[in-house]
Order: sequence, then C-alpha cells, then structure tokens
Amino acid sequence: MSLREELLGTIAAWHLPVAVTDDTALIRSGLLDSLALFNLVLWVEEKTGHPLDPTRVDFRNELNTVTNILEFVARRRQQDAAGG
Amino acid sequence: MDPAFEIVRYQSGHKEQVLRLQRHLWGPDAALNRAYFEWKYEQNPYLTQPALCLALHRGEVVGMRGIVGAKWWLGTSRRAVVIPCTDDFVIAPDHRDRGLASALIHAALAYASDLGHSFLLSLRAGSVNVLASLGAGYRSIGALEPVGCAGPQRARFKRARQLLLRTRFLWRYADSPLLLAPSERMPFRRLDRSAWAPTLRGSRIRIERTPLPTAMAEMEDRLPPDDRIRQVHDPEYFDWVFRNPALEYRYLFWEDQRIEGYLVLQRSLLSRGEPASVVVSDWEGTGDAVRTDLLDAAVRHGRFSHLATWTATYPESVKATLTRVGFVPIDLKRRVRGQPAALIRPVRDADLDHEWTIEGHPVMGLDNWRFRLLD
Repeated sequence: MSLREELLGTIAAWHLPVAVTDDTALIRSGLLDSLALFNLVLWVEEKTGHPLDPTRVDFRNELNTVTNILEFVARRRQQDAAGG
Repeated sequence: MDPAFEIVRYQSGHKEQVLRLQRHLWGPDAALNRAYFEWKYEQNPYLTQPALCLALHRGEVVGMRGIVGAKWWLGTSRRAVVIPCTDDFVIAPDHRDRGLASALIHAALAYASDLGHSFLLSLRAGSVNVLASLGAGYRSIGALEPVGCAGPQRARFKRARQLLLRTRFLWRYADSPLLLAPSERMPFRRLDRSAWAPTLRGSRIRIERTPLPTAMAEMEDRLPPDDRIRQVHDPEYFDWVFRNPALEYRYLFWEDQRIEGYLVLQRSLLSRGEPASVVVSDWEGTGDAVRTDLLDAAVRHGRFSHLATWTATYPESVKATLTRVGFVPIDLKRRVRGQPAALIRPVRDADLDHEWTIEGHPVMGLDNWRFRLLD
C-alpha cells in the first residue's frame, strides 16, 4: 500500500463529512477537529520516526491537504537521510 | 459541528451552568470555582464584562472558552494596549469529539474582534488545545521553557505513593494527605517561619503575605527601558492580579529605603492529583544582585518540595542564576513538542497572511515579548 493510500485510509477512519481527495483543504476548512489533528500528528510522527513539534509547523500551509502532508513527510525523511 | 449544538456568548443567566461546567476544569470546590470566576471575568480591570463563548446542547452549557483581559506595554513608549488571552477551555466529557473545540476557538476569535481587539493570545493551553489552536491558525511565539527545582523529600514521598498504588488493598490510600511530604501539604510553612528568623532580621529581604501594589509599580518605573511587549505592571494590575482566590501567595521584597526588587511565589488551591509546585510567578529587581538575593532567599528559606518557573524571556544572567541554584528543565515530554508555548493569532482571517504586528511591533518570536504568569 502506498503512503498516499495509507493516509487516505487513516483519514477515512475519522468519518469526515466530505469525501477527501488529494487537494481537499483539511485544515483551512476546519474539517479536522482536535482529535483528528492529534491523530494526524501521530501519523506523521509514525511515518517520520520522530516526535513532531507542532508549534514549529505551519498547519495551514504545510499540512492542509493530503498532498501537503505527503510532501511534509517526504521532506522530513530527506532531511533525516541527509543527516539533518 | 453537530447541529444539536449551538455556540453563544456568555450572559449572566448562564453563570450557574458555567460554574457547574468548570468543575471539569478546576475541581469540585463550588465556592472556590465561583470566587475564581468572579475574580477572573467579572472583576478583570481590562474587559468591562465577562467574555466567554459557550457551547449549548439543548440549552445546557457543555463547553466554554474564556477571554481574559490583559494589558501590555508596547516598546519603550509604554503605550498600553489590551491583548486578551484565551483561557479556561473545557468541554463536558459526554460532548467531546463533536467539533466543539474548533467551533469555540473560532467563536472566541469573532468575539474578540467584535470587542475591538486585533490579536488573541493563549499562554496556558494543554496539548490537545494547542493542536486545535494551531489547526485554527494560531502560531507559536515560542516555548516557555519551564524549569524546576525539587527538594529531596519530594522523590521519597512520591516513591511511597507509587509503591502503595501497586499494593493490594492499600492502593486506595495512595492519595492520602499523610503520604504527602510536609512541604507538599503546607508549602509555605518554612517560609512563613523564616519571616521571623534571625537570618532574615537585619537583611534587606522581608517576606510578606500581602503585596505592595504601589511600591512594586513604582519600582517597575525605575527599570531600564525595555522595548519588548510586556504586561503592564501598574498598581491597578498588581491590585487585581494578587486577589486571585485560587492561588495563595507569598512576597519577598528586597528593600533599601525603597523596594529594589520583589519575587512572588504562588501555589494553586485548585490542583488535583499530584501536589502542585510552588511557582515563581513574578520576579523583578533593579539589578542582578537583587534578583539573585531574592531567589537565594526563596530557595534557602522556603525549602519547597518543588519550585518552578518559566524562563523563556528571562535574560541569560537570570537563567544562569536559576541553573546555579539547581533548577533543571521540566515537563520534558511536552518540551519535545515545543510546549508549553505562547500562541497568538490575529482575530480576523484576513490578517493571517500579512505580517503579524501590533501598532508596528512584530509579535512573532520570543525576543519581542516578556512573559510572566497571568495567574
């Protein structure tokens, strides 16, 4: 299963009132409540293997859509691979 | 949000229901909850009326988010503006995970905007509240970097409580007051005795149970200019803030004909579970030597089970003093995630994508602020 499919499956379990696509605004639209945000942070931590300091993340721009979230995880993994 | 709920603004008719809801947040003491609410929202000198957003379910108050007035000086001109703080965020357990958190956060922003404010701060949010706030567009000004200094008794008594918790039949007695160190049951006992001790007589430090609002404000006026955004410390503020009925205070003054420094200690009367730390809630002086004397006196004479403070906006010399006295970083699990943190957000969405400033003063970055505990 690809990371994208995994993320969409995770989001599906949150029973959001709309069908989520790659570009659905999750944060800016207010779709995610605090529990879903908490689960999103846990998912990102699991995929990057590191605790996420949410206060250093711009949720509205870096984690707004499925595409943004996947890019964020990929960036963090690249930083890890580069030793940063 | 579930359509069975509605979000409204507080009116005096909601008060009794709000006080009942607060038990989930502050504890079961109804009289103390009432006094705290009245002090914080009805007697606040910076907002003319209580400002809270409430979530109702079939007319019953099941969620709240408060807006507390706080006044700040901007830069060396000391122009004062009210930048309110959101606080006291609670949703009744049966109504959680229904989208109320986000709805209350946005309702509080709209309310603050209608009251004429441009930003809302959040200084004491728990982890879930922080996430919900960040998701709603708040940003972190920075981590508040709490440090603490534990006495030897604390660990011993904590081990005893944990041991009892794992013991058949006896676990139910683990939260007995008898299993608290004397310095946890009566945290100011030693300090109060020391107020009359020969070591303090003849020194420039005195320990008091009541504040000196006018003298404290006068000393603040003699401090060097500070271009950061910082809470207004005038007699009105000191007179209000130290009447908080949920806290017990002690005041250490460094005096040489007039007040040259003060250190305020507080302990919560609302805490549940583990005994609360004594906290250095305010600490100021006309020089490093004065500040150091005050901290040394508090530690030496108080012999607290646990003493804590925020350090984020203290100068390096003050942080070094804390380290020398034995303070170490605490709350490590939350620290990894940048918390506790000071959060801020413009109240209007249209301002989110502009540079965040208040009358030309940038608000992002701890260098631009000086934070002390609000309560």
